[in-house]
Amino acid sequence: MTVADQISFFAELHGMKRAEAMANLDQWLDQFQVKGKSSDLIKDLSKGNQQKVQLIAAMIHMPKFIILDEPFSGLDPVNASLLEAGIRRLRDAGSAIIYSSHDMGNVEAISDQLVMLKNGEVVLSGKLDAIREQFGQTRLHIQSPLTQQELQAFPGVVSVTPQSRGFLVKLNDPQVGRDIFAAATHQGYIPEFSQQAPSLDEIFRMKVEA
Amino acid sequence: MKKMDVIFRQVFFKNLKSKTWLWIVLGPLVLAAVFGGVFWLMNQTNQTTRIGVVTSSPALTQTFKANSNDDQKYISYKTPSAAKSALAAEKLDGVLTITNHPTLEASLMKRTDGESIDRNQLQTILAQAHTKEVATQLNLTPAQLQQLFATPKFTTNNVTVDNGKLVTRSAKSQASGSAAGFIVGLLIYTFVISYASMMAQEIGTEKGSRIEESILTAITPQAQFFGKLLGILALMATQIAIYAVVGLASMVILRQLPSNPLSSLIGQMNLSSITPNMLIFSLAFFFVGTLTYTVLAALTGSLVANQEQIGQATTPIVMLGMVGYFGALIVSSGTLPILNIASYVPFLSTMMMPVRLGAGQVSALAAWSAFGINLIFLIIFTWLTVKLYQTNVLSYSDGGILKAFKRSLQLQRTARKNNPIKS
Repeated sequence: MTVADQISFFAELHGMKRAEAMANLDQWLDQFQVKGKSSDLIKDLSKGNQQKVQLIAAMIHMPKFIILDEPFSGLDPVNASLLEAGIRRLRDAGSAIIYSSHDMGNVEAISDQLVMLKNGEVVLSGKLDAIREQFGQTRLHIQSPLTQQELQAFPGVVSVTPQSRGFLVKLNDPQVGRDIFAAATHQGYIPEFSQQAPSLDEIFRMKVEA
Repeated sequence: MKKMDVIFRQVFFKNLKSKTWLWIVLGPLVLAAVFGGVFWLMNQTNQTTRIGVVTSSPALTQTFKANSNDDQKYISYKTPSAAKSALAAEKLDGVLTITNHPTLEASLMKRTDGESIDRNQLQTILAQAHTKEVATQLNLTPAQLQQLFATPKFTTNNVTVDNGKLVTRSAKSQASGSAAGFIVGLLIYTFVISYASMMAQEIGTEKGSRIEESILTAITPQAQFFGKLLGILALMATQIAIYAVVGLASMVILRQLPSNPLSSLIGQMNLSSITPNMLIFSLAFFFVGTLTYTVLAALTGSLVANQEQIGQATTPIVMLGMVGYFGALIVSSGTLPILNIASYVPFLSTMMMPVRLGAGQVSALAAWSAFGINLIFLIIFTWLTVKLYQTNVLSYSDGGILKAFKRSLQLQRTARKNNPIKS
């Protein structure tokens, strides 16, 4: 089947008029930067473009509820951001989207809530910010005159990892951050001091390895 | 209904535009054209066989010359050497040298690259000459000779049993009817294999590529099933319509052309043996039979877990089709009790019964009874398949389609236990 036939087939199945689907088709193909024309055969497209066509087929009729199974799988960062934009477009139009992913980066970027499963059991669920806050603000990104040894010496510091700029300090108590702030800014301005909850990536690892 | 219509149009137009369907339609036409062309060519280029006859008996020479016709011509030569020279110069295809004494003997020298020689005719003429000679020696009169060689009259009448009455069929009708029935059986077989395979491929591909889940978010499995079935039915009807138009046009064109081998062949057939009743019956049987196989294909297609298993899905259809086809081949030359019974069995009946009706082996009542059995079976089988299809189409099993079928039955039982009240 051609790209146009496939997409209009799914659109019509979901109650959209063929003419309307065809009128919107080029816009969706542009939005997802699909390399190919609407008259091309789907089997002649690359795997990535086939994936995009399948996504467009699922989204073009603006469903109220959509489930996407690993939609970001195999997508490079550019295409992943195009998909994120597509999902946001649906969300803004009032759709509810459930999708599965192993990439915490895009989960953090677009999700409102998450459920994490391990061996079929729910190990985490809720709004993203609330989940991160559960773990406390125990991650400190700092660029300051303090050396690695000086940072390690603070009580409550679990580890100090050099970054490309500055250090990532893991704390066992968020309050330690105050002491480090006081010491770091003792001589004045510092370029970076960011105390946050662990990233979803870290939380994922903690839960999987637990 | 609207969504079923979407599926129907998708199946119909997608296949209508495909090269595969084009070959399914054109293939038999091309084959028929090739056979027709070859038949035409063979008959047009047929040359008269020329045989040189060398004999000292003027009576024998006259007898041979009198038997000359467009197929085989006899030319008299005085000496064997003259005849052989003509043979070497390729003016003859064979030389027949006959000696009368002591007994009538003949030897034939034929060119290996010459036209084919009707040796039966030669032997018949020689046998008659010998008989005549012996009769003369025995002083038999021509009347006594005729009496001696008179054979009892032996005639054959082909009859069919229709409502307990015997109805005579001419030999021409018998041959034409058998041929028509056989062609119908062959057409049904090719249609069955083509369209049932198409159905299995349709469903197997959608299931194997995991697009089935997406489709079934918008439409019920039943609506999808019937949409596909109707699409396949429409394609079959389109192909029949094309053949009807091409067939009629060919007949008209052939009749307009000057005398040719094909139109004389058609003239030899007794088309009145193909009655409207037989035509309607054949069409009805064709649709019911092919639909039954297509439903089977939908069932097996819905059991595949990946595209590699599509071959497994089409195997039962091809096997059943072949059994039916061979049954039709065997039954066309005479029936047996087991074949009688088999010709009523759904799937096998599809090809066997039209052949039996064409050959005059069954009455119209028996044929329509078989149709009735097939129709009832189709309805029940379709109902069962739809029920299984709902579970099959979303379950995947790595162990092949038999295992998938068992799993599907288990899922059906579980679903009935959990939801005893039908929603």
